Amino acid sequence: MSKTSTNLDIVKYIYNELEEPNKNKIKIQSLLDTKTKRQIESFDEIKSCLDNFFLEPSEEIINKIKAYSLQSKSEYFV
Amino acid sequence: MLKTELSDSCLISLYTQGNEEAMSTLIDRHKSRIFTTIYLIVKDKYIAEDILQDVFIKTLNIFKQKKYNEQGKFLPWILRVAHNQAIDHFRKNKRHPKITLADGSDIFNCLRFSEDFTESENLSQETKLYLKKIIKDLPDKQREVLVMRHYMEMSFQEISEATGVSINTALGRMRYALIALRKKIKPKQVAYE
Repeated sequence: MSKTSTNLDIVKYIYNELEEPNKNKIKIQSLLDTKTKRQIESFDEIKSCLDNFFLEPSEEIINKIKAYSLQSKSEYFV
Repeated sequence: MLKTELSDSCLISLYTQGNEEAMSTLIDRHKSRIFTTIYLIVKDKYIAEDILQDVFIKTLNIFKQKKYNEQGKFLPWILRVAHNQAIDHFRKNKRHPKITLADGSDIFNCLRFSEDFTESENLSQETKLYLKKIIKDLPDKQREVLVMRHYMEMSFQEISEATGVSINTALGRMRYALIALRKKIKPKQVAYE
């Protein structure tokens, strides 16, 4: 496996897009190679940060949207 | 509020049958992901909120016209609507001059960096502000792939098709984005390059 394909496969691997045979290759490589292992761990860590990174719109805008939804419902669906 | 176990398609069906709470539940369920996706494209809270409103109005109009038939794939569908609306915003505003600083950055990004967001609770406020800054600072093409993969949950194949680049280019951009974020979050850690 070339270095480039390994690097790109690691990205696919952490996003669960790697096909099963290559997934096993990465798993084995991470056991044999500290650098690969560290890279997977660090990418997983960033991914986990991103998983928890969400911004909330203001309540005001959500209330406006809900008011519009209520108006739409009464006009068209009932 | 309706029980959260109900699927999106079930809520849509209830809403179109006259259940007003169903849409409210659907909005609350997805507002953060949709808003974050829009915000990371336009990088401005107020514009992102305007676009969020437009996205939901467009969605409600599609429900009204009974044109919605995504069959259980509501979130990817509305995220694409949101993405397109955010991109359209740039197209419409191309003719307006942008005020930039000496280093080329947009003055409004700096002015609005300290905006007071109400954010979800798992990360500290300080970490979130920092994360927001470093995601905003990523090169556009890397940020685009990150938003599409992470927040819009598109596969790398779909990103490749949507952006007109090879799958390896999309993967490479994602990799550089992750490395850049990692370096900035833990600058003392040994770089992988």
